Amino acid sequence: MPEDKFHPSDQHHRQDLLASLLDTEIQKIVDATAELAKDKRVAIMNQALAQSNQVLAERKVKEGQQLLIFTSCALLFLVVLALLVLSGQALIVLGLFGISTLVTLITLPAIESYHRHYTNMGGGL
Amino acid sequence: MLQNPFAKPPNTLVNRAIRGDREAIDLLFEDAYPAIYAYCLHMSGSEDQAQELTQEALTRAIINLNKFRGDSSFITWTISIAINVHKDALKKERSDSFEDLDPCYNPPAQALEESLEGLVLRKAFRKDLREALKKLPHPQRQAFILKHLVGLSYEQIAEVASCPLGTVRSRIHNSIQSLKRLLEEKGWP
Repeated sequence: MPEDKFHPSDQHHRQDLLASLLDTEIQKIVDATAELAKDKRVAIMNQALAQSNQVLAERKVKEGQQLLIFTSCALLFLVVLALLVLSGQALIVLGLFGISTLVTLITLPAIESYHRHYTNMGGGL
Repeated sequence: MLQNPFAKPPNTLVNRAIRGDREAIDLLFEDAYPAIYAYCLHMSGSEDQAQELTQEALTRAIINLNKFRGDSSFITWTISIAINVHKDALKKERSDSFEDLDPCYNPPAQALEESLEGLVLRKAFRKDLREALKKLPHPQRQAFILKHLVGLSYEQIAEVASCPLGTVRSRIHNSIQSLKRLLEEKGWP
């Protein structure tokens, strides 16, 4: 075992020897790691790109759906509003305005937080 | 190819990568990828897990490229992501196994250049080094790996580990001392 190989009498010398051995081996481990990383680069990069493309595509679909829902709601609201204005019920119009503003104020932070959570893939970066 | 691995990448390269330009992505991750892989490999201690973690870290980095503001170097930004990915993996009870015999700690047989005795000794030393590294407390091991196996500076480690520079210095110093002590206990040198 190691003891048989090295028998330096001086403790200081032993320390130097260990430090030098450690440096050499760390450098060799670094080199071996770099080689290993190089060998696996193509496979890992391709997988990561495929995964990220999939997530980005899903995100686009989701954003498209959200936009569609928002546009539909806005249009519906405008139609109802126009009908109420035409029928002369101004008080109901004002009430609807108030309710929609309140709903927006309440739901906006939740939507924003969901969006942040979604884009961060649930664990921060 | 980027000249300085720790330099901030030009914004145009990031913008091209955001648009999905494969060449730009490859250039952008030219230096970050080996650093992420090294971190994941030495923190997890398993080649398979390192591949999974690196993949996940790269995926998160690519998806969130639009959030890279350029305040830090690209490598520290991506290493921070790798640290979070590893933390998430630990939370899912995928503990640091160190069970797989990863080739980095198994020196290749260079029998023509080295005597059999030397090779056996080197193998034994790396095995003991690996065991010693495994025994270090998490913050010390992380700091040691980031400094000596990934190649970050003290300042960059402080940034990614979110701790003061003095703490990083002391963690690295202590990790070396602990490694030496553990190796001495095993009879080295």
